[in-house]
Amino acid sequence: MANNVRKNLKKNRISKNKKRSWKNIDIEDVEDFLEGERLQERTGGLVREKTDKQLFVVDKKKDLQLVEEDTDSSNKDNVKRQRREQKQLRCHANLLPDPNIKPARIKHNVRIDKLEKRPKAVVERIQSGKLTYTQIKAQQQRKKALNERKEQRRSKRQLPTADYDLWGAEDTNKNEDPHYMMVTKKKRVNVPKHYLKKPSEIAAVELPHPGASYNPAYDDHQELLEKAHNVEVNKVKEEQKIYNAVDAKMPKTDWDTIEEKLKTKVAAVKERERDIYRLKTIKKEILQDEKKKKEKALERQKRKAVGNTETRKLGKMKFEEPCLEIKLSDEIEGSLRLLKPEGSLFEDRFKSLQKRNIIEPRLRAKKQKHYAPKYFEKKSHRNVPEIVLTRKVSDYVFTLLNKLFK
Amino acid sequence: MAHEPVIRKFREFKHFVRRLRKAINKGNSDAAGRIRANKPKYKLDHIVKERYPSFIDALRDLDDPLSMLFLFATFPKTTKTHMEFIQLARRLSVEFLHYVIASHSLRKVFISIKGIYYQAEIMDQTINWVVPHKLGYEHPSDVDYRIMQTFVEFYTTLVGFINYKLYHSLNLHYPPKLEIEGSSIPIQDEKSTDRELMEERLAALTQSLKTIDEGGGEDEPEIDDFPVLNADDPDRVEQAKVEAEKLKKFQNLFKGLKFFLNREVPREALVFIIRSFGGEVSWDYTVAVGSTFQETDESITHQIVDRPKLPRQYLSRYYIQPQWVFDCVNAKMLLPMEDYFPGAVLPPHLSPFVEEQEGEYVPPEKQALLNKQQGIHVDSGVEDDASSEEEEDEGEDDDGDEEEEEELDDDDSDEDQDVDDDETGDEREEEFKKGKKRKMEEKNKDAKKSKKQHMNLSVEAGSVEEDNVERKLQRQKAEERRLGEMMIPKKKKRLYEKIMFSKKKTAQEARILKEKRESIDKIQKKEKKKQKK
Repeated sequence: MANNVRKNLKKNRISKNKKRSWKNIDIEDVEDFLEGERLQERTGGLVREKTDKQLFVVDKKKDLQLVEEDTDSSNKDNVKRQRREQKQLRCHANLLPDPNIKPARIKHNVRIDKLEKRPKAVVERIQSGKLTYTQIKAQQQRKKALNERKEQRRSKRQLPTADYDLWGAEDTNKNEDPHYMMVTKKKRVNVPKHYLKKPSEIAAVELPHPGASYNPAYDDHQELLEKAHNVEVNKVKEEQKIYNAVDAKMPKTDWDTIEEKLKTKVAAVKERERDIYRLKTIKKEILQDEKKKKEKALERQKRKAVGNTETRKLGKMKFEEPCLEIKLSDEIEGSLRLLKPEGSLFEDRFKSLQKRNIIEPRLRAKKQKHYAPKYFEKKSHRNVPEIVLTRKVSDYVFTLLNKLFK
Repeated sequence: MAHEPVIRKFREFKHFVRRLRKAINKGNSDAAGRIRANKPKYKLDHIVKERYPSFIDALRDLDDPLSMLFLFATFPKTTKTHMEFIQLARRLSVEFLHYVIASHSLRKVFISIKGIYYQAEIMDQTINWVVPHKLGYEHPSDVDYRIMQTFVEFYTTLVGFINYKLYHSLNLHYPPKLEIEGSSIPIQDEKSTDRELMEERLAALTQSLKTIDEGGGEDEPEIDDFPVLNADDPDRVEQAKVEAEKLKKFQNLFKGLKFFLNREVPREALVFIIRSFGGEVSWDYTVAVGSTFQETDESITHQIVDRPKLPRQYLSRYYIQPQWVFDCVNAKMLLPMEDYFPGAVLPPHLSPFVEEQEGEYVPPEKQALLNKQQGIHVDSGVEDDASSEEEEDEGEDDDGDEEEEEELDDDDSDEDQDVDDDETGDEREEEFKKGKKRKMEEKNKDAKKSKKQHMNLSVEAGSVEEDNVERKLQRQKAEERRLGEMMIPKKKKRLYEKIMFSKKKTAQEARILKEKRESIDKIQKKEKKKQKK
C-alpha cells in the first residue's frame, strides 16, 4: 500500500491552501488505523488496553500430531475423525458470527427475570402449577368458543333437519285480509286447481307378483313365467304388425304396379260417382259413426271418473313398461344365502315415477363420438425419421441418458 | 310457480356455482374456500306443508319416499353419488325403523328376488315399502341420478318431519336417543368418531329408545282404544274387541324369544322383524356393533342359521333357517319348526299380499296355512311329511275311519268343534315349547280316542258353552245378504245375476284345479310308496 501511496504523491502534487483541494489529500493510512481500532472495539475491546492475561492463554491440550504418534492403530480412526471435525472450510468459517462480538443490547432483547420481581406467594403458586379462577374461566371459554365454531361450521355443511312440528301449529293468519296476506307474501297467490292434484292414482310401490318370491310356490312361479312369456310374444306380434303395415306393403318400383295403381284410381273415381245413388246408406253410416264416437267419449269419461290410472304421454317418448324380473326354474336356489337379486330397485323407482306421470320418459343423450384425428404425411416432410417420440419412448431415452451420465 | 319463494334461492345457488367455478378456474383457492363456506342453503318445509296440508296426507304418501330413502341409504361412496344425502337417507330410514319397532306396526314381509317388501300399518294407514338386498351395487346406465336426487332432497325433508311427529306421538326423543347410559352424552360435544359409533349403535336396532318422560307405559292407550263406531251394535263392539286382542297377540309374536343370528343371514332385515314383534336379537360381536348377548348364552331359544351343517350345536335352542321368521309373521302365528331346520328343503315362501276372493282357487299349501291360522286341524292330502306317511303305515284302515267319523261329528255339532279348536290350540302352544310334532300328534290321537269313548257312552260330561263371536257374525252376515238379494230391483237384477254367474264360473274352475291337484298328489304318493316297498 505504501508503494501505492508514494506513486500517488508523485503524481499529484497540488497545493493545499484551498479548501477545495483538501479532498485530494490522501488520508488512507489514518482511516485504516481507525477502522482497525473500531474492529477491535467491536470484537472484544482494544488490544493495546488489554492485559497479558486477557490476551494469552496457556494451551493445555495435547497436540494432535503428537497424539497421533502416541496412540496405536486402533485409535487412529478416532483421531482422524476428530481432526476432520475440527477442520472447517474457510468460506464456511467466514460466514459464522464472530464469537467476540456481543449482541447489541436492544430493549426488547433484554430479558429481565420477572419471576424474581414478583411477590413470593405468586411465585409459589406459579411453580405449583395451579391455575387461578380467571385462568380456568378463560380456558373454559376458549373451549366453548372453539366447539361453537366447530358446530357452526358443521351445521353449515349439514342438510337441514326437522326440529319442529310442521303440522302442529294452527294457521294464525287465517282471518287476515287475503289481499294483505298476498302482498306481504305471507300467503301464496292463488294456484291453479290442478296444482295440488296427484298426477296419477297408480300405487307408488306396486306389490310384487307372488311368483317373484325368492322361494316361490310352483303354481305362482309358473304363472309369472307365463306372464313374462306373454310380454315377449306380444312384442314379437307388435313388430310383425309394423312389418306387415310398412315393409310388406312397400311397392317394388315396377311399371306394372304403377299401371295397376292408375287403374285402381280410375276405379275409385267411378265408385265415387256411384255413391250419389246410395246417399241414404251413407247417411246411415255417418249416424252410426257418430254413435260410436259418442260411446267412446262416454267410456273415456267413465275412465276419468274412476281415477287417472293411466300413463300419459308427457314428452316425445312413450312410456315403456320395464322388463319383468324373473328367475328361471333352474335358477331358483331356495335359500336366502344363495339368492342373487334380480333387477335394480333404482331403475324400478325411476320407472315408477315415469309411470305415475311425475317425470317424462326420456332418452339419455348419447355421448358424441370423437374420432381420433387422422394425420397425413406431406410430401415435403417425408424425410422425418420414422420413430415418433411418443411419451414412452422419450421416457426410455431419458432414463438411458441418465444412466450414461452417472 | 313464479311466485314460489324457493325459486329465488335456486337463482342464488346458480350464482354461487358460477362464482365458485370462476374462482377454481383462476386457481384462487382462498376465494374458492370462502365462497364454498358461504354456500346458500334452502329449506323445503313450506313445500311439504303445501303438498300435504295434514299429517295423514303425508302418511298416505309415504310409500315412495320410504322406498327411495332405503334405496339411497345403500349407495356407496362414488363420484356420482352425493355423500350428504346418502348419510341423511340412512339416518332417516333407521329412525323410521326404530319407530316401527317401538310402535309394533309391522304387518307383512315378503322376500322377493328384487328386494324385501314390508307392510306396516301406522295410524290406520297401510304403508308398503321396498328395501334392496344388501349386495354389491351397480349404477344402472339409464337412470338419471340428478333427477332422482332432487326427489330424495324433497323426501328427506318430508320423512324428517314425519319422523318428528311419529316420535312425539310415542313420547320418544326425536333425534333418537338410546336407553342405555352411554348415549346420554349430548352428541355435539363428542368427536366425530364417537358420533359415528353412536349412529352405528342406533342402526343396529337392538336397543330400545329413550322416552321423554320415564315410567309412562306408552303402549297402553294405543291398544285399548279400538274404534267404537257403532257403539249401539253389541256384536260390532265384540268383534272390535276380538280383533284388538288378536292384533295384540300378533304384535307380541316373538315376545320372550331370544334369537341369535349367524353371520351368514341378512342381519338388518331379521333384527328389524324380530324386534318389531317383541323378540330379542343379538349376533357375534365381531360381525357388527350393537350385539347384546353372545352365542354362549344359555337363554337363547332360537339360532338362525343359513348353512347346511354346523360345527357344534347347543341342545337348549332350536336351529332354524331365516325363512321361518318371515313365514311366522305372514301366518301371524309361530309355525312348526321342523320344515325349517338347517339343511331341510324349505316350504315355499308365499306372498302375504295375495288374498284370494271367495270361490277362487287356493293352492293346497296355502290352504294348509290358512287352516293352521284358524286353528282348524284337517288332515288334508297335502301334508307330505314323513310323519303322516308313517302314521298311515302304522294303521291305515283304523286311522282313516276314525278321522272320517271325527269330521262327521264336527259337522254335526258346532259347539263340539269349538271345544276341539281350543284344545288343538292349547296343544299347539305346548308343541312350540317342546318342538316335537310327532309327539303332539300322538297326543292328539289319544285325545281323539278318549273323546270317541266318551261319545259311545250315553252320558257326557257337561262343557262350558262358548259363543264364537266370529261365527255368529258370519251367520248374521249371510242372513243379511240373503235379505239384500231379495231387495234387488228388477232393473239391476240382471247385472247381479251376471256377477253371480261369473263367480260360479271361477268356482268351477277352482274346483277343476283342485281335483287336478288332488289326483296328482295321489299319484305321487303311490309312487313314493312303491319306491319304499
